[in-house]
Amino acid sequence: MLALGGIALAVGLAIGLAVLGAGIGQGLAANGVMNGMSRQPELAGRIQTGMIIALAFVESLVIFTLVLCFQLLGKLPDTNKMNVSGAATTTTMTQPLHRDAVAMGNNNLP
Amino acid sequence: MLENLTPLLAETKIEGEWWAPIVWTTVVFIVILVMGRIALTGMKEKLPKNPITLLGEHVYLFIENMCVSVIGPQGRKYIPFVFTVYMVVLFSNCLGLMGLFAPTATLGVTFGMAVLVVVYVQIEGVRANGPIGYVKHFFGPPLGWQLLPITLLLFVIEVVSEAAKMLSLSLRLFGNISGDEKVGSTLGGLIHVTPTFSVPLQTVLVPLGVFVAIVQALVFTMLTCVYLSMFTSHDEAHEAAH
Repeated sequence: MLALGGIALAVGLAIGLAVLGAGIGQGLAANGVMNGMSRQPELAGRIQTGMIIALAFVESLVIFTLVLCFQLLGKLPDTNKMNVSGAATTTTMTQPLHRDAVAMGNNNLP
Repeated sequence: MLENLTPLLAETKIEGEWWAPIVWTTVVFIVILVMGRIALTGMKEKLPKNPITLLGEHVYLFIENMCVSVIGPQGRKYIPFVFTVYMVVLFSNCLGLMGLFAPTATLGVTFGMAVLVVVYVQIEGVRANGPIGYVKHFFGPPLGWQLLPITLLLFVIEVVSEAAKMLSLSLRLFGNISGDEKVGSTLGGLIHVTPTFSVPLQTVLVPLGVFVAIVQALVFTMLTCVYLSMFTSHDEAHEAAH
C-alpha cells in the first residue's frame, strides 16, 4: 500500500518537475528568438524554423517523463474495483479493516 | 532483467488487433507510391501544372535544403533515405488525425524506425570513413597517453549514446502522437450527455494535433540528418587538411 502511495506521489512530482524545467527552457528559447527576430527581421523565417526545432527538443524531454508516468499509472489499482476497506483487490485481505467496529455496531439497541 | 522490460513491452501491445500497424503502414506505403507515380506523370512538361508534381517538388527542395545545409555538399547521396523517412513519418502521423489508426502511436513501429535510422547511420559511417575511421570516431578527439582513462570512458559513453539515440528517437515520436490520442480520448469522455453520447471536447486538440504531427516528422528527419552529419563529417576535416 505504501509503495502504491509512493508511486502516485512520484507520478505527480515527476510530471510537475519536468514541466517546470521545460517551461523555463522553452521560455529562454523564445526569449532568444524574440531578440534575434527584432534585431534582424530579414532572417525571421530561418530563426522561426530554428525555434520550432528547439522547442520540440525541450518538449520531447517532458514527453519522455509523460510516457514513464503512463507506465507508472498502469501499476496503480483501479479505485472503482476496490472493496469497502479501500484496499486493492490484489491483496489477500478477506475481511474489512474495520471488522471489529462493524461487529460492535451490530446490535439492536435504538 | 527481463521482468523490468515487461511494462515497456506491455506498451507495445496494440489496443485492438495485432495486424493493425502492419495493415495501416502498408496503406501509407501504397499512398506514397501512388502519389509518387502521379507526380511523375506531370514531369514531362517544363513547367509542371499537376498539383501533386508541384507538391513533390516542394518537398524535395525542402529535404534537399535540409540535407545540404546540415550535412554539407556530400549530403546529396542521403536524400532518398531522408525523403522516405520524412514521408513515412508524416503520413503515419496524419493518419491518426483523420480518426484512423496511427501506426506511429505504437511503440513497436517507432522503435523499428529508430533502429533502422541508427543502423543506416552506422552503415553510412563505415562507407564514408572506412571501418578504422568509423571505430576511431567513437574514441573522440585524440588526447595524450596521460588521458587514456578519459578516452576509454568516452568510448563507452559514445557506444551507450548510440543505444540512447534509438530510445530517444522512438520515445519522442511515440510519446507525442500517442499522448495526443490519449488526451483526446480523455477529453472526449469527460462530459456524458447520454450513456452513449458525450460532448466532443477533443476537437480543441485538432489544431495542436496537426502542429505536433508536422513538427515531429520534421524533428525526426532533422535528427536523422544531424546523426548522418556527425558520422560522415570526418571526410571534410581530412579534405580541408589536404
